[in-house]
Amino acid sequence: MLELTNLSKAFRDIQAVHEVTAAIADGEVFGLVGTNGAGKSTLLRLIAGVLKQDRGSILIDGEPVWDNPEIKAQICFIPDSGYFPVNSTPLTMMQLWKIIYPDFQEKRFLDFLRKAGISEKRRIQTFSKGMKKQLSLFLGICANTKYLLCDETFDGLDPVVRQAVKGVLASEILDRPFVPVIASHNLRELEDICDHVGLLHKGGILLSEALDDMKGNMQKVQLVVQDPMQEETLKAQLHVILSEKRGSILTIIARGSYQEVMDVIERTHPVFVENLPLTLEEIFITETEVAGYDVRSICK
Amino acid sequence: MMQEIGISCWLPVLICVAGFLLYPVRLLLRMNAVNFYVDEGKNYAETLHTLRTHTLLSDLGSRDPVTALAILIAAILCACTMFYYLDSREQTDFYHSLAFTRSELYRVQFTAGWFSAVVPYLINVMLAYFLAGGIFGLLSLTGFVAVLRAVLFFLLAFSAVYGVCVLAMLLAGRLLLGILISFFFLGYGPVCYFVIRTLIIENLQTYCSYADVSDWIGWLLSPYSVLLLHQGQGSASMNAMITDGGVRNGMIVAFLAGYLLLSWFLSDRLYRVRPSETAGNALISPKFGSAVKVMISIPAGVFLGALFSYSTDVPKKSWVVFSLIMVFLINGVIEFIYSRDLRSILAHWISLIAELAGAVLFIVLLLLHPNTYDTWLPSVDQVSSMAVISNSGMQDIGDYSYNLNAGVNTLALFDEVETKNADPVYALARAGIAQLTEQGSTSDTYAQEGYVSVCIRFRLTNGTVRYRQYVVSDQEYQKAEMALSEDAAWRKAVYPANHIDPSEIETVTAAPWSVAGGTGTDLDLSGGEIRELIQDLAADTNEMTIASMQGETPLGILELTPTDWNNGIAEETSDLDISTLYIYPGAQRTLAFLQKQGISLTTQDSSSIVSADTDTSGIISLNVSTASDSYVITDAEDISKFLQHCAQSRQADIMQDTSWYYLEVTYKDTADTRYAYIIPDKTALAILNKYMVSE
Repeated sequence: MLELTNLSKAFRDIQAVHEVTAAIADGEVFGLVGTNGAGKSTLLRLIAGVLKQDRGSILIDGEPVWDNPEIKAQICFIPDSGYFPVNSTPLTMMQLWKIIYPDFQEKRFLDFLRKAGISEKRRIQTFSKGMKKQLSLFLGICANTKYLLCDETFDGLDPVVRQAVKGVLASEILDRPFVPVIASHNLRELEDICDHVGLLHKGGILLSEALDDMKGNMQKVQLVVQDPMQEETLKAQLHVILSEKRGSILTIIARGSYQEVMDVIERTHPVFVENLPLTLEEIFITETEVAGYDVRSICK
Repeated sequence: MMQEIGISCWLPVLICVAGFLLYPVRLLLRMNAVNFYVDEGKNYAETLHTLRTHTLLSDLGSRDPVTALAILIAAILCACTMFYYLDSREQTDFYHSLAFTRSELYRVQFTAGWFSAVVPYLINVMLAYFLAGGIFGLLSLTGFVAVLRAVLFFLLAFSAVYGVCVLAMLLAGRLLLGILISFFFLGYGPVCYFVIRTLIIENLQTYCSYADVSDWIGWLLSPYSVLLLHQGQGSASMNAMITDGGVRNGMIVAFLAGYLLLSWFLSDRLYRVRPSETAGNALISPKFGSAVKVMISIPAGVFLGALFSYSTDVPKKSWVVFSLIMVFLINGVIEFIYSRDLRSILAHWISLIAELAGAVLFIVLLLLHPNTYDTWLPSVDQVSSMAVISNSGMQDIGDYSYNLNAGVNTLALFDEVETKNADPVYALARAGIAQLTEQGSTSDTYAQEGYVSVCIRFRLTNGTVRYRQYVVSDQEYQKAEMALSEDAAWRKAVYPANHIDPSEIETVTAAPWSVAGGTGTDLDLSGGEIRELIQDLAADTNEMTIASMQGETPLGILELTPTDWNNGIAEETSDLDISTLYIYPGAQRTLAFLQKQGISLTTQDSSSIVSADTDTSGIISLNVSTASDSYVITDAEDISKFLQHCAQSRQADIMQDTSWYYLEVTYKDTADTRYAYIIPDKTALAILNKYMVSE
């Protein structure tokens, strides 16, 4: 169990993380999404024990992380751009990680390399960005730690490897206590992997919920209402987050369960109504817009 | 840790290769080169063995300058290599996410760097010792123990210097700045101390610059300068200055150990709280950067300002202006190093104001303080004892001097010449103060004829010690000397014969007082005889006051040649720069000793250099000179007549009579030259005028 309580971290006058409270239960895949500069990397570095929080607490299984080797031994942190010593090869990295993580799965790592077609003796300096990301992920998975913190790790992977890694993560969760925390901009990917999503904006957490709950609590509906008065009544009765009208078709995103939203809509006797699936991206954009991050106004 | 060394494996490999060249290769080359310095003779093998042993023990010894330099380079290199990850966010994230406490990580990195240098060093030193020792048959238990002691000393020195460099790296966020701060830590203390001391010496006219621990205390302000202090003990000036002046090997070891512990403690504490987010920043904290800037710019600006104002003819007060300009410029340079942005050079204006204010305050204090410092004199009841030394020597005793600026152990000397006779000492001090305030005589004035520089130590009743240096006239100094010499204990402490180590004398020559009485005779004395002669001379002179000497004309002169070569190994000579000592008629023991050696020194008429019947035919020429004119008399008749009409001036007379001439007598057969100060009468002057040499 990973618990963040009122976590704050500032770099001089920049508040990178502000009063973040969240909990990640064992067996969950936690996705961390957020705008640029929202504090995702800082949050992961705090969880990894790299940074020390200014305020609040980070508890892993009830123990603080900072300067606590026993807890840190359960965490593997894969930063955005990982560190590979000069002239290191996948094999020498494996030797190094075997020392750092005593439960490192050597055979599995070599198997991953073989399957991905990565030469174990080739110098990592000559690897492409994507290959380095793959290698980092393989090392992280084989480190066999309970917590795997991935900062934008999936962003450089090709679709095949991404699918493979998704499968590996899923099987890991089934096989052993495993909690991946994945920060990414690729919301589509996170949607497939994550059970729980934390939405960060300007250092603060906008929401942290199970993805299904998040989707269940927000509805996207397309409808056609003949009477403009009814349209206004509808908007007034619903907790509308976003509404857009093109021609006679009105698209709204509103908070509430499917039943609640549909009950209100039905009372307006729409000519046409359809409930559309909400993507994580839409939830993200909607929530950040509400919080004042109006992407569309940037593009205007 | 092994893995860490493995990651930076190039470092031990590099040090190993460098160490191989520095120790085994260098030692073997130098061992072979010894052959060129030894002539084949009866003691060839023995001398060769002695020199090779000396080379072996000096190259692998604790005063090897090459190792001292290597320590500096290796310490910076190892500290940078082991902690340069702090320059990179990726690496910092990697290291700081590992399952170590910060202290453990610090220990691992520190130890890995330490072993990277130490193991190659040990391997190479041992290889050098056993290789060179084995090939040339120099292996011995004593030699091995000596090398082992040097190795242990260097390990301690390296650890201390390395510890400070690590601390510098932890304070800096960038590699280059880490190296600069390493140099700052290793050099700031001593350099700043000597800069400030130089400014004080330059501005406080009575500051005694060679008389106390301030000579060497600045060397203790950094581990590397402590190491250099130890290295310097091998040199004549440093050795005499410090070995008996309070610095002992134990103190050096204690200071190095202290620096190691302090740097370890500070680094450990710092690393525990070092924020990872500072990776790649110029410094761990802007406050530290400002502190460093202030610390550098004030002394550097003031010193450069002083140099600039002294090297030009502008009034001394312009020192302030030049210094402020320098402080401003140095501030800009440091800010640029920090930010790499010219627009930021005035960013930290508060610290800039602090620097400018500090520089002004320092100069104002220094310029205003002399008024009280230079005229300070304790009341007699505040003083428990006093001591006076001068580098002019005592002219009545011989031609010698204390070489105060290089070689003499002044602290020990002050202890030896302590007196409670306040009147002459205070008279001297008051004369010095008057000379300074009324005539403006400074410490440079003593170089002028008729002046002498004296240093007085006041030991106060509250236990503190104060030194003052004055410029006084020769007459004032002689007057004080005469009064002080009434005390037998003072005579024993001060008279040079009591300080001569007979084992440092190689040859002794006895010559009659009169330059025309013939050249000196080399005495073929054994070591025991030299000791006996010096003891006799000391006993004789100890019975004479300066006043009694002035009432007498010496009978002869003993010329002492010190040895500087002992068993083929250079030795340091005495801290007394002695060339000649005078033999007075009352020196009965000395005269009796010389009599046994077949040398009889008799009383001569002090009113003339020679009597009418003195044979001067052995003289080929007389060179006579004053400050402005010179004369060369070559005619035998004129030589004889001139000498008969000249009174011999003792050196003491020079101070009281300015009508003396300088005479060089050159002898026909031996081509020897002897010198004297003479006072010619009218007849002699008439002869002299015939031989004026035009410029």
